[in-house]
Amino acid sequence: MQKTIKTKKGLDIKLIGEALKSVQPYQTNQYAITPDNFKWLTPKLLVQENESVLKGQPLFFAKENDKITVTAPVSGTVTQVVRGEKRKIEYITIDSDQQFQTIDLTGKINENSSEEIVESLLHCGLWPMVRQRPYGIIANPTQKPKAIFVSATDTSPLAPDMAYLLDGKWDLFFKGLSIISKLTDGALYLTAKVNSTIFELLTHDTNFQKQLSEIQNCKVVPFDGPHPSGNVGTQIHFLAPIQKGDIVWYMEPQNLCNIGNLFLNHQLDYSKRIALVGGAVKNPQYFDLINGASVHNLLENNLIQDEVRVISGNVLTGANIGKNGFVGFYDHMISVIPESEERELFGWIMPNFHKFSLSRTFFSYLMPQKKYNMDTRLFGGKRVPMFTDVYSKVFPMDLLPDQLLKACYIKDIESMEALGIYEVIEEDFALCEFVCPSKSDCQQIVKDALFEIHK
Amino acid sequence: MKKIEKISNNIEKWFEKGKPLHPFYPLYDAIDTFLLTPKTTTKLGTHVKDAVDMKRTMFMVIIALIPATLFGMWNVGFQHYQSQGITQSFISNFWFGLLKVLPIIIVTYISGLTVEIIFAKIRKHEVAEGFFVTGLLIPLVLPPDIPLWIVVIATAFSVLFSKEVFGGNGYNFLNPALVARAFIFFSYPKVITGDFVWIVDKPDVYSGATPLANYALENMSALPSTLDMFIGTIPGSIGETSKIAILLGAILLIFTGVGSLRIMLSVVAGGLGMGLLFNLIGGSPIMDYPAWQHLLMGGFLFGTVFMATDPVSAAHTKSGKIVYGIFIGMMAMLIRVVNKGYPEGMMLAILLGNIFAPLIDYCVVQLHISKRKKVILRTNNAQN
Repeated sequence: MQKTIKTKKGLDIKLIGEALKSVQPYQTNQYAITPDNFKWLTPKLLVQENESVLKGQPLFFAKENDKITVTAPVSGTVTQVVRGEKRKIEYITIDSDQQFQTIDLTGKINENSSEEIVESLLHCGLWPMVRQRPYGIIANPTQKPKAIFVSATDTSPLAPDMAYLLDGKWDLFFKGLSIISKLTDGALYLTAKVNSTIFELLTHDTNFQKQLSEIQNCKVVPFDGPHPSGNVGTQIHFLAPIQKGDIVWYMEPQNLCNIGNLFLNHQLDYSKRIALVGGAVKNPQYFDLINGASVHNLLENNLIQDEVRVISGNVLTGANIGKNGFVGFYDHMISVIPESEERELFGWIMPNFHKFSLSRTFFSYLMPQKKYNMDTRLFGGKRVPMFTDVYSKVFPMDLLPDQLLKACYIKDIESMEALGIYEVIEEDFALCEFVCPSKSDCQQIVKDALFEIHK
Repeated sequence: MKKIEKISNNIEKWFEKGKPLHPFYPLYDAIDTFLLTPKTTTKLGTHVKDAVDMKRTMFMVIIALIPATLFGMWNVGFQHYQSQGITQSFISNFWFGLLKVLPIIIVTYISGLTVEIIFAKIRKHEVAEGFFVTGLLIPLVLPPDIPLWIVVIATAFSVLFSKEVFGGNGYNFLNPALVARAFIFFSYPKVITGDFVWIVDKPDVYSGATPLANYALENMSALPSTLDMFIGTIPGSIGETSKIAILLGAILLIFTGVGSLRIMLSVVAGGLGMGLLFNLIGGSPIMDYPAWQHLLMGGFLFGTVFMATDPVSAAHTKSGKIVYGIFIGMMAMLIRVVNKGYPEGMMLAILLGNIFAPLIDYCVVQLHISKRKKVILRTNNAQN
């Protein structure tokens, strides 16, 4: 086994509303694909409103690479193409006919070589599940990565237990792992947090170890430390640091099951298990559903209050989808937190036992184990970033976060490259943004800078 | 609570765009957010936020300055009555000092905030909290007998030329409070040097020299006891005399993480190191003066805790902060010992440190980049 990656810097934000280990199947007629889930992808529509589609039928392709298509997760009718500003496509909604008629896959699934695997994934529309660093975009199928990463523990706030998400699908998971391992000449890193359920399984279960030993270039790497130790960005930084020109691919563990199902049973599988979590949820628990499902019925009669923010993903990096939104393509959790505009008298001086802060300017530091019901308040005005010790406390990589952010802000590409911009994407700065007393939009700054380089 | 919110919402209407009071919106906004936490919610990025903000951070510094301010007020009265040979009660000492110091604080705030609000209006941003700290730091580094009009000019000059011309709060490369003091020192040297300015209405016969002045004149016998210098019952700038009060503030700053312990320790280390070096060379009372006693004299400790740690004008990198701190400590000692004309080296040492901070950071960043390149090479080789 590989050496444990130990990180000290970071922060585990303790929130109430963790999901109980019980799962329910969830069905709805409403599905949608959100092109915004795929970073910087410009969709070119292949279907029209009121057209009937089969499960697996391409809905749109990427303008950047017409081989990359995003497909319908269910069969049914395309009800609406919702457009926003500048006619940008926001959703493509599909009314499911509950028949799950699938496109013809005969002869399309081959796994003899890496080229065939890539071709099969592209054809069946599962390719968007493979993403790449730098940039965090859908991987370019013509390139070869120097390594592939699968982080099997999510350390973000209220993150679900990955072992529970994969429960019962382990054969698919390992099949997916072995398929993906053929796509790189380097290593396939499967990382798990020390003492997590999945770590115990991977290191002590004989069946698991046998399966793993059959995948030649797969390396199980334990890691330990507070969030963001579970982010692939952090792990890549320590195991296969990216320089200009390097490509590393990464995938979500549940997507490996989808890919495994395709190659093992020749079945198109868009199902996944998600956790519904957060302080505004009555019964936080797990649900089995199909990607792109509407969360409307999920939340009905299950909210503590009316004013809530529904987030696909975690509270640090997720997208605000609203009560009628749809489960994001890569997300395995829906976080629902109270929306609040409550004002407080002399908030800047009150001792405040009930507000979380990393700084010790609040008395809540006396209760390090306390769990908070955090809401969406900004708690202050935007200022020029001044304090320089703050970011580095929650930034585990051996980079200079303040200097890198400054370079990003002024779009100085040369400095950005020198300071390691290719090793990060916006989610790696989420905690910096969370703790920033100046309330800077660190993630947006990094995202814009990366876009500038990518252009 | 709700009542205040309602009143504030009602008043806000008068300041809306198109209303006659609109030009004063930054003033309204400053007062509104002073009373109530803002109602804004997260839009981009993280949906939840750490509860700390700039206001709270800055007010931690103000709280840390309160012991030094209160002691300074008392000491102004105490020094005044002592020079006249009168023993007064604690309350009378404090009252005298309060009447002397409070006007200085008030005019500083009025002068500085006026400039701030004008610029907030022009640049269309909120009034930043930075000046609330600067506005208290300026009076504390001035002698109690300073004419108020000089305070007004110096504050306005400092806010305008050390901060606003560079882009406002957070963009200044010099500490604004020290710029104000340096401005007075160079423009009105008579009011800030000599034996008369440190004690209010001092009789001519009474020596009002500060310990530092006596030290520079090699008048070692006239130096107050170590204990007096530590407690602070000595003449000097309003806030700098009591080392106990400053240390109380330092404890709060370090505990809350608002002030950089790294910088404070480095400045002290630099000062002690340089002082010891002079002790080793020796040869004159000035050179032989114990290094550790230097820490109790003049504005060294006040500068260390409240000025050198200003996060904007200090070095920004971790190791840069150590170099920056040591540099300031050494420079302060060097100026004190070598330049007898103006023994208070702390002000100039910190300003010099501020100027060198970007260069220090640049070197640290370049070193980090080349080190990181090697690490990447090593990691990639190890994994292949």
